[in-house]
Amino acid sequence: MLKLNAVSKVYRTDEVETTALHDINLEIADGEFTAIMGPSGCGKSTLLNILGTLDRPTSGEFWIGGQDVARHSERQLARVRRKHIGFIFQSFNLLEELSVRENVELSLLYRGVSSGERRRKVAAVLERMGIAHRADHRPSQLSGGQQQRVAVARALVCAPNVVLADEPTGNLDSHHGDEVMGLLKALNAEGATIVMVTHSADHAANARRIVNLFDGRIVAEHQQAA
Amino acid sequence: MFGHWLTMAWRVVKSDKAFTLITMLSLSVGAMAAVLIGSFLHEELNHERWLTDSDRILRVETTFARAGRPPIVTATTFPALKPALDARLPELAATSRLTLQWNTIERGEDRESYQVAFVDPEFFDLFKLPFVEGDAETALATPNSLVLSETAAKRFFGGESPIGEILVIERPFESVVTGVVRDLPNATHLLAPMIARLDNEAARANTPFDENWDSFSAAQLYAKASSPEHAARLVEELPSTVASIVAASTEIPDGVTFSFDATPIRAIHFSAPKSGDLKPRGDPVQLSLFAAIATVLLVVSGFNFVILSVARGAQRTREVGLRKAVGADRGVLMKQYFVESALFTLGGVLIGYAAAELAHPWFARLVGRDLELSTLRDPAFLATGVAVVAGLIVVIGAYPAVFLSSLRPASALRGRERASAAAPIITMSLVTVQFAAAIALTAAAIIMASQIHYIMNKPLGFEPADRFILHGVRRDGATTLARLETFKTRLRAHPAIRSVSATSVLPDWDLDDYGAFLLPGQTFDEGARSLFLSVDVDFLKNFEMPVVAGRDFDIARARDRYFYDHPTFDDPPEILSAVITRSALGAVGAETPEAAVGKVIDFDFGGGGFPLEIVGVIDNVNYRSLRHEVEPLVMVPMAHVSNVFTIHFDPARHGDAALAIEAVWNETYPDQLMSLDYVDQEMIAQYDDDRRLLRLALTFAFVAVAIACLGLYGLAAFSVQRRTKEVGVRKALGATTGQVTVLMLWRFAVPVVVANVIAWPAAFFAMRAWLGQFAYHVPLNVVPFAVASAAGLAVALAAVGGHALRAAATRPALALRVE
Repeated sequence: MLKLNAVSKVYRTDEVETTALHDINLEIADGEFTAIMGPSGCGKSTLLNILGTLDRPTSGEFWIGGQDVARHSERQLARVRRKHIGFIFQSFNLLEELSVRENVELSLLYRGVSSGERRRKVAAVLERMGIAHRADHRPSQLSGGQQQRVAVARALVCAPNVVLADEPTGNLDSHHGDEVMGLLKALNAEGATIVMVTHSADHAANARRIVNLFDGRIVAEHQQAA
Repeated sequence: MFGHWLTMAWRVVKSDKAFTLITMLSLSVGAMAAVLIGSFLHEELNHERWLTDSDRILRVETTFARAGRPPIVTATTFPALKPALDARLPELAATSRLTLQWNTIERGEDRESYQVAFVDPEFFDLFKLPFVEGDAETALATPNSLVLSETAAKRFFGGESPIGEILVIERPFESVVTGVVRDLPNATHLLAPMIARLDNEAARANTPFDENWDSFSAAQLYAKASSPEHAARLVEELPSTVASIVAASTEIPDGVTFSFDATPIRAIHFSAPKSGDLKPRGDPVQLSLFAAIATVLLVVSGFNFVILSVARGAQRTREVGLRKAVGADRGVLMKQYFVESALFTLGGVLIGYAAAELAHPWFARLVGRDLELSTLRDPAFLATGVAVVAGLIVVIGAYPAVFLSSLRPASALRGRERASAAAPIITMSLVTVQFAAAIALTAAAIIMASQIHYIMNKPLGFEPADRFILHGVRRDGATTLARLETFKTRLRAHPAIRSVSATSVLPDWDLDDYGAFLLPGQTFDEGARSLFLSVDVDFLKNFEMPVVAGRDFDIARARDRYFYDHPTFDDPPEILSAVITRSALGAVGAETPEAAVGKVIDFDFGGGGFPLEIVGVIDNVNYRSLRHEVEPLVMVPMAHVSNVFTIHFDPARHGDAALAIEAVWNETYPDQLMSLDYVDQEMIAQYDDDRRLLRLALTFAFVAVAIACLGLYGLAAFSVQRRTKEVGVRKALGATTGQVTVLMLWRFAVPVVVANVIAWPAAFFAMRAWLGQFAYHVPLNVVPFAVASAAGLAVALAAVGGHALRAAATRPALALRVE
């Protein structure tokens, strides 16, 4: 379970203070599929970064798996990410220097998984994503849809219990976008908690719960039938 | 994981070609310079270490002191000390004397001048030189044995074995070749192209050496201890033991003291220069300078990696963000980037090392040394190299690793992470240091060049051009003068020859024969010191030294021709004629040249002398190198002690002159080999070290400038990329291309300008010390510094100008679309 208690995030640059998140209270149950919506600059990405422990709240508590990680050290946060979290980004964030296989393998590498097991797991997840035949290509040789499938594969290969997706369909045409949404739904059906930031009401409709953010505050929240 | 780092590093190398090219090129050039200089330093610092038992061998050296005079420190000692020392210290493993002598070596018609080392039969017990033929036990078994170096053996016998063959040393003395030793490496003070016994008939020193307590400059004396510990004890004890032996064996005049040193041979190369040294000493100042330059070049070349890694960091922020997102912590990323730095460094250094092997002969010419390529593969040298590279990896790898791994993941992922506030300061500081090195070296090179131009062109008071110098005039007592005169007369008859003169010392040799003019009542210590030069009566004419008062020497006058009539010192003259320089006027107590002429004044060498009549005064002569002040100089006709001829020839008939000289020489001196050189070239040769240093400074300045510009070029490329948007905004607001270009250029000009704050004082103090060695030097003014700074700025702007212009010329609409 992810739980935010009175979380605020303030960016300070010299004299100027910008409050990106304002007293957020949010609880996301295990296995839930949550969509976060709102206009540009409302704090969606900041919220997602905090949920992914890529950023720390300025104040408040963030409970994940029974511990408050808001004051964790960088090293501890890295450990939390390794244990719980997989990321999918709008711009894929694949490393151009590495092949598809090596990109996917990256998360396993930092978890100290043995090379034999890495090979097996990567092969399995690429197979599942339908891109096994592209394993030795570089990201730039793939279409956008294929790249995002590689990114999803990279998030899934460690079987995280939380998948955070930051506008995963933003750079895709509708056909590939639908495909990625299908993948996320399937994952959710297998038990993964999914938090997705999106602009698209259509894609948000896939989630069980929609959280609306405006000016750093949660302004609306509603559940919908699966 | 390590495999992944290697893969990643290799792919970064391949994908970012500009980065790879610039950093690798810089590092390899820096490493090449460091390896080359390092090999020179290594050779210098490891003298004698190659020699078996070099930690057990000592040389006995002598200091001779008289009250009121500077002591004479020699690398030699009394020859008779050897048997006395053997008797007193039987625990010594071996002792041997060594004295060098130039000899004409003949095999049939084949003749050549060679230096022969005359030694005691125990020589090879002391120095375990590697024998190629023959062996150490028997090589010096008989008095006429002769051991050759490989090169000398090849010279006279080609590929054939010389063992048992005869060579003539100083006709008619025949010696039998008994052994061949491998040529000695450079790192030794020993000189032994040929080795023979002291009791060889050809040894001129074969006055009974074992009883010679007269001359402490006659021979080197080496002693070998039984162990290194014994050697350490001997360093302490031997001086007093030797002093007591000497005191007991010979009568020491009043006011004279002898003291002795036992110098370990490994220490010889870097101890203070001594009279009788077999090899010029290493110059610690020059070596420190070289070491400093090597270090600066290596580090500065590594800076480009740091600068560009940080500048390029912008491109790798997403990578860092992503790696952190998928679970990497800071430590593991730091290791990754450190490994990457290490690989780059290693790659650059290895390329530099390979390049150094290729450039080695060129570098050897540059430093004017016969450097050995094998030094580059010497295990000790390589071990030092590994340590230096490890240090370098830490120096240049640490910051990029720390910097990249510290980026915050959330903003890094958006590619928005600005480098920490320190990053631009650090990059710009590194650029500043690079340009400081470049500007300082350039300024130094300019100053050196102008000083060398100055000393090459300064009027010296005599005319060295179109003159030959003929070495090797043999002094053989009574017949010396007759042969000199015959030679001169015959040669003068040739139309290509303008004049001939015989003298004892040529201008380029550091004349150090001093005496003192004694005004009435003065003792030697009170008298004014003056250099003393023995000449013949043609000397002034031959060198076109104009007489400003009085007259030139005149063979017709009794006081001028005294030694022509009495060519020994057995019958001292009453009064001799002398010509002095203006600088000696004070010494003879005269205000003007005219006042000096006609004066008769005592001249003393500290133990006797004769009265001189000043017959003429000439302008000052820089008889010694321009490192020295002009000194008072007195010239006296004493042709019978001449060593060299100087011959003024008609430059239009230069070849005829040389042929005539050879013909006359062979008639007059059939037993001597002729050695002909040009006076002006010998003059220039005394500044060889300085010119070499200049060539090195120029080369290294060029390297430093190139490295600094490469870095700046790369930095400009990266930061112009980053600032494209800024350019768009500025232009949208109405800035012109020119204004934007100036703005971009200014940013890169700042560190170059700041570099002067370091460069000027550094170059100033170094050059003040260097110029201080010369009594005559160019003034140290602001011009060379300003020129170096302007040149630095100009090349820097040229390096970044293209990028700045291109960025500034971008259409604003395009520029704004970036991101």
